[in-house]
Amino acid sequence: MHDLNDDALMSAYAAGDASAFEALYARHQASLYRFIRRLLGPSMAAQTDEVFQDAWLRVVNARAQWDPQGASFRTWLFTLANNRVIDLWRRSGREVSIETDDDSDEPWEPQGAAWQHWPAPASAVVPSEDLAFWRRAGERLLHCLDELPLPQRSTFLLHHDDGLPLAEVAAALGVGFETAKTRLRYAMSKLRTCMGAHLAPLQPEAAQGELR
Amino acid sequence: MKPTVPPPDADRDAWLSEALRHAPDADVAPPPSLSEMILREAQAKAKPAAAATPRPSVPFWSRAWDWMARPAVGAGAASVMLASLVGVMMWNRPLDDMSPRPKLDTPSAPVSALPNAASAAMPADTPSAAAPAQATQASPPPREASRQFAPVAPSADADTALRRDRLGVAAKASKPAQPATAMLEKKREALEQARVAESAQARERRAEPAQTAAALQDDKQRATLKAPPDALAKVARTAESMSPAAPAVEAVEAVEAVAPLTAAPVATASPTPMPPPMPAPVAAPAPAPVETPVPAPTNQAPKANMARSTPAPSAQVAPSLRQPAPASVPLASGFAAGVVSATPSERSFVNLRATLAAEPAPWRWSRDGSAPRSIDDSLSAFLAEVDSVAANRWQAATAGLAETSAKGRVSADSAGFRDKLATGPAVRLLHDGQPVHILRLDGHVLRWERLGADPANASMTLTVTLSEAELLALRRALDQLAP
Repeated sequence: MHDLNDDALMSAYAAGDASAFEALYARHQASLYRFIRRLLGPSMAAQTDEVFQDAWLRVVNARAQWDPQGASFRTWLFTLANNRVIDLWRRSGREVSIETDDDSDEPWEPQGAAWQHWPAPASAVVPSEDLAFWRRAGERLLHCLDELPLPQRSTFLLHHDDGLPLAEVAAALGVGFETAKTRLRYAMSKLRTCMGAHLAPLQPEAAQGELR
Repeated sequence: MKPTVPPPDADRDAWLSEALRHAPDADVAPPPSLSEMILREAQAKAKPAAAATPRPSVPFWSRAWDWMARPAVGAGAASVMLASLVGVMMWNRPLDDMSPRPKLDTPSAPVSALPNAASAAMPADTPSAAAPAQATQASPPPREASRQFAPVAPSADADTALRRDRLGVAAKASKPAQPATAMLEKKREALEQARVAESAQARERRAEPAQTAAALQDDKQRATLKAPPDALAKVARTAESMSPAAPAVEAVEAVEAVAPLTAAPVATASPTPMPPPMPAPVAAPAPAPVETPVPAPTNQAPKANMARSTPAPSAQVAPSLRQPAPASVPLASGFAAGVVSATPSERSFVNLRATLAAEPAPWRWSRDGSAPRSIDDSLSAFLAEVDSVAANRWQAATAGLAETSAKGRVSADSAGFRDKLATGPAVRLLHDGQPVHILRLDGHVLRWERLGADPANASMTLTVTLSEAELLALRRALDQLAP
């Protein structure tokens, strides 16, 4: 059962196999929950469970209409969650600007490239001092995400956290590929600037590490 | 749980991705209760889908049976079945008239009308001398026709026929009332008129051997009267009790309903004019004799009927249709005198019995000159036996004791004279003290002498030759009569 892909499991569940849904749930529940939580931000974190439950119940109720053609199940699942967050966001009175600064040609890029002095991100074994750095960096990143517009936030999270290709991100968000790419560039630029300003104290250590 | 490392992407920032992996909420997971609720909901929704397989189809008869088992449907079906059962049980049975009977004093059609109805209903190709002579009289009312074809009832059916007759009479209740005596008088007049016509017709048919459908009807009627004599008396008494205003008329009607007259009426083509027409209730055709219904040639019947329908002298009637019976001469003289007997209808032996059963009061009987006695069961039994042995075989006597007076009067003295001439036992029926009928057993010949009760009446004698068995049976019945 767990060897089947998402589409096969969803088809099995649509045919009445409850265990197929359990496999799907186990496979995607953590990433979806995290995505919803980060998308809602600290101010609306209390709504995470509601959105998460609603997204899965939509999957359950729409099992008969499930069509494996088109986007993958994972893309469809995150689309449901994103739309639900948008609805919740709008109900809270917040402005959801779809066209914030996507029309500008080039996003703002911070000068100095401070993160170029950060530890290597993909190292298999993170030293203890580096682990502390990345934890602080992670905390800072969450604050920086909260400052991003929702479309850019969802684009960045889908692309960097959930690992969706940019094309699927565009499909999940219902926008064009270029739009998704632009949103991603703006999100990354803002996050780098935000992160560089607060992570500056780490630069000497990083520089010292490189020197060593 | 640590997030997986995203694959290399030109647009993916490795430092930002690493920062996300180490974010404080990287290991966050939904609450177990929430997961359990979602999974339970998913399983609940999955079961109906799994159970959505079509059920095996229920056969039609099973569904129909279930439908019939519903209380409302079952009650309706039971009601219909009960109504059908009651309808079948009450099929062709008259309704009991429990309401008070309205006062009826309008007489029914005379007895003579009944045979006419019978003849009208006979098949046209029936070779019968009793061919319908309805041309001389108006057609009988439908009630009479229906009564004519009422089932010949044994004694047990007498009440049924009586009720049927009562229903028919009740339909005429709206007619103006008349005194019962007047009605009875009219009735008697009509009966006497019928008797005269019957006598002439009997003389015409004497030579004709075959029986007709009317004779068959008479057989049925005779079988009816073979019932115990008390049955007829019971019918008569019932009729009287139901109509206090006109008991006699009702009684006669009741008896007629039990034993309808069957012979086809024939208005005899007589050279003498018919008596003046009677009042409306008796404006019915004259009856034909029951005793000798013999067929007439088919090709001559219409002509004869046309001739009979003419009240004028029968100059238009073919002479071949005439029967040169010697006894017709004095009868014709009786017609010429325009006599109408005051006696009740006893133009046939069947009617005689019916009359005795209906109105026994004025009648007495005596045997061999003994003292007159009231009508009793022993006499009724004897008459029934006579009717049984002589059924349809009465023949007009041509000689001997069949003389009639020139004026149609037969006095008590002449009857006594004939008694002296005769040697066999005789039973005399007296009406108001006057001998009217004499049944005499003379060897193997049974004679029925019908005497006029009034000076202007005619008389005639009918005979039947008996076999040994019949003679023995009749003597046995005669022995039952007290001397």
